[in-house]
Amino acid sequence: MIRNYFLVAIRNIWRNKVFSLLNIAGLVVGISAALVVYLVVFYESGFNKNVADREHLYRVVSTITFTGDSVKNAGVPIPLIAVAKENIPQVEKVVNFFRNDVTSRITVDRKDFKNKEDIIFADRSYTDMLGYQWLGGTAATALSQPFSVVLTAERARLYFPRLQVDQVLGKQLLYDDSIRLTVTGVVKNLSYRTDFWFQEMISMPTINANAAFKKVYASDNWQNIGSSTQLFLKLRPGAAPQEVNATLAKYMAPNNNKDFATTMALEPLEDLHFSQDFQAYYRTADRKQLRILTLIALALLGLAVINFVNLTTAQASRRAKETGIRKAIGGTTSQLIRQFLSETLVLTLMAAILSLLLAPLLILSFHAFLPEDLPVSQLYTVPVLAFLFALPVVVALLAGIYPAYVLARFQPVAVLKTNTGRSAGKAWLRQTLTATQFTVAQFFVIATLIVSKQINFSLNKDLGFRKDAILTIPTPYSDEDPARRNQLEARIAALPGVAMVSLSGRAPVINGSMTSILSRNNGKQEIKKSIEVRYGDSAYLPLYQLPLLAGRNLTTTDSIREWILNENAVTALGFDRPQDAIGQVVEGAPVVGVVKNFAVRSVRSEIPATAIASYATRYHRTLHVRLRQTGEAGVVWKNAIAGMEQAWKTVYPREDFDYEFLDKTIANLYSKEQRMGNLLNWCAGLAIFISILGLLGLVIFTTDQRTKEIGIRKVLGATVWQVVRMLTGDFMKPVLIAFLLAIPLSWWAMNQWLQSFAYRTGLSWWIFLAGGMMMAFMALAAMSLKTIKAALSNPAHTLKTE
Amino acid sequence: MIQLQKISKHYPVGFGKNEILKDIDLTIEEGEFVSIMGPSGSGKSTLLHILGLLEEPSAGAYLFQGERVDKMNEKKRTQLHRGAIGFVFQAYHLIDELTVYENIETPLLYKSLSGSERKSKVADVLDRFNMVAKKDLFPNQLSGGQQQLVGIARAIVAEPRVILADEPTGNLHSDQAKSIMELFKQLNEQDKITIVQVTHSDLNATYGNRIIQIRDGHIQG
Repeated sequence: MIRNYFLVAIRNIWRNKVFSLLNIAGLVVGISAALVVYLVVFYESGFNKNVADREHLYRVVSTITFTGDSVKNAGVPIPLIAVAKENIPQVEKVVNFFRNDVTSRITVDRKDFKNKEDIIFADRSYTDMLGYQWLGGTAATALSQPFSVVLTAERARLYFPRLQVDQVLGKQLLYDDSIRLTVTGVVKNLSYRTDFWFQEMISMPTINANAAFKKVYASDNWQNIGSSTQLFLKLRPGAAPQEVNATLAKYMAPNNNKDFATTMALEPLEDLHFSQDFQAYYRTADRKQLRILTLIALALLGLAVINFVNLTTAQASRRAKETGIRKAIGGTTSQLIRQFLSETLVLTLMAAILSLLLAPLLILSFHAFLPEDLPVSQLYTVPVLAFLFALPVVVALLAGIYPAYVLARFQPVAVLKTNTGRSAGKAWLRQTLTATQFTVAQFFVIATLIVSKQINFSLNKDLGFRKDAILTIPTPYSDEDPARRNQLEARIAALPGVAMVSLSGRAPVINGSMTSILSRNNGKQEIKKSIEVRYGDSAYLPLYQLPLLAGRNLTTTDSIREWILNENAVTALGFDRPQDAIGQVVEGAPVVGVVKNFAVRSVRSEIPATAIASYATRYHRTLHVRLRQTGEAGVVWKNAIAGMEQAWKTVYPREDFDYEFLDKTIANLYSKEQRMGNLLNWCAGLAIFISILGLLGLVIFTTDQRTKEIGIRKVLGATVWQVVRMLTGDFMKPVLIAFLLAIPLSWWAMNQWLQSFAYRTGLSWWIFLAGGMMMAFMALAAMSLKTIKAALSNPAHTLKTE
Repeated sequence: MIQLQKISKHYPVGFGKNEILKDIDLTIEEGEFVSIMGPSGSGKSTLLHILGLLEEPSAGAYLFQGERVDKMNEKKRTQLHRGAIGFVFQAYHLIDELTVYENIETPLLYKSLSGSERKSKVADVLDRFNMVAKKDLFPNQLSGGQQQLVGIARAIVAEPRVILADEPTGNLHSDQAKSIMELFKQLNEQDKITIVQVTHSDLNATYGNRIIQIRDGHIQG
């Protein structure tokens, strides 16, 4: 029986090639989207699964509150580690490690490496937690002595490409030309997915044995909280995390005051990979984003299901005769339903197999939306394949049950008596489903337009300072010698293509924020405000063309001697007019100038109160270069940048030259929006694609049915245009209804989205109109493929059969 | 074997109704070969559909092998379709997507016969109708007469007690029609299958042993 079902199914699919193709194409899009999204969700949720005692492990994280601002930090105060080890009864085991922020260069056999991001200070508790397999050395001894280091096999291969594991033991690494570490162990890289991606583990005793490390990592300051201090607690079974929180708060309390307070919280290990506030070590995944992706995949799948229902019920008459015959010779309705369902299953399985073939291509072309470390091979794992073959069954049921019911319900007499063929099921249902499809597609189209309008708005909004032809060059982090920076500045300033150079802190607009508490006594009371601070030299204002409203420019000083405020800072600190602030003392230094408000963050937030000061010894570490815009800018700039690189190499022969144009920096502020815009673009494209396939199918079917009618109308004198209009009119109705439904829907959703921007573009009426026109145009274009041909057909041929 | 008592059939039309059959009383014995004749619209096809349980009568009783079947549920009706009643249609009504062999096999699939049983029964029928060479062809590769032969083969493969044929030769040339009627006669005489056919042709009617004339929903004389 089953064989019979499948035979008929395959022959039917083959016989109605056009419809099968339309159906399968839609299903391939839907199933592929679902497959890729499942792959991502499966991949992201599989992190840290093999970490020992994972269900009892928590990371301690901090929230620091100081006058009006609160900052989340993934680290803890260093003295807390000792407290956790000794004074908290609920804690069974403590794992702590430090990320190495200090080392900038590792030298092995006279070759330099720069990879401090994946170097940590750790002890045995860390390697035990991750369950490393030791290829050389032992867990018990490898990290017990100062100046020992354990490498992963991958790292060992990088440093010592010609040596076997046992030959690596005892070799030496040289950190920053001064610290010698001996390799005491090599571990196999972890076979499971993990956020603990560190490759190089220095023994904890090394910290106290080296002055530079000791200064950073042996601090007893409770207010100094850096994300490099990582503390994990394994709680005893049954212990409540809240109790531990309370104990932590008790130890933190003496170190808090009303201006600066820290609260601790326990973050379960399973949240580590999805941590948005606190970040993990390499990258994190966003649960919200995964949910959005899931919704999108479901939407696309839904559209494909709708196509199937529409196309199958519309052409039900083709199968009605078969239903009649089968019933007359003993088939029951339920047997027929099963037959039609298995036919649907054949289609969905074909689509699934095509999706599997397409998936590697999809993963490569959509890498921007997927986890960067997602390997294509992940596709061929049991859970993913199981999903891929379970999905068609579910889709076949969803898409097939109604058409199967419609087809199987035909009564033999009705179809066997006469050979009339009409579509079955409810025509209004098909109209409704088509309208639903187009509503989804229309929503994506309008959303795409609004997102790109907002991005455009963000990039073109007046920042209040100059951003063209400016590039920034960060100087090496570890370089403590200001003389070299000044030397580099002088060399670059002398280049012919360079108009101006400033050695300052960061650019006016940055990703994130840098705030300080500034206070001022107005004679009656102390005013304390959290104020965004930028550090610049005397060239900073002129280079960025920040317009002074009162007072004068900064002079370059070694530490803060004077302030420049923006208008908001003037108000925040309690002055009425810019002139009033001049000469007043803030945080021990006088205000010498006031500038107009300028952007310091993305348009997501309002311009905050901002101050500019000069602090050369500590913060002036970035070169800001304004290029000349004369002649052929491209050539002049290229030469200028080549000149800068040359200058860099003479000053910093061992460091890499790196620069970024400011407008690129600003564009990067909106990379999230750009990505969202891209994703929406794809969604809109695919939703339109599927919906148009369905529409085209319906048009082909009804037009074929009306061939004779068209012939008669033409004989009676209808023009081609009249016929096309007649054929098209019915199908434009659902498109129009979809447009009307999509307007409030997209208005609401995009209005919500725009609320996250302090400065936002308007939801202009013409955006909606443009979206609607685009959709209508595409629908018409698709339909015209069939309708015009039908309208042009010669009635002599179409009527001949009678 | 077949007993109709005061069978009526009408369809609603507007506010009134369209009477197709009125108070039909009819008995057909086992082994008979009956021809139903009458002008177009006289209700002969409807009568055949009621006999074949494809339509329910509006009033009256229908006994098939002594059992009331006019108000049967679908499940029992299907049982009769599988075992007792075979249909032959004017337009053949073969399943286009299936080969000759598969078309004939389908009723046996619904009867849930085993693979080997099906094979031997289909082979017997193919052999008897001299269609072995054509078993892998599709309906549209056959002539009308050959298609109707397949239709009859499909009707008898499940060994029904009665064959209901609705103008079985209506779409055929006269010599094709003749061989089909010969076949019916043979099935009736050798296999003892009761046959009820609707026909316009006086010639075809002569193959049977009884003629029922219908006019305006009544059986004449």
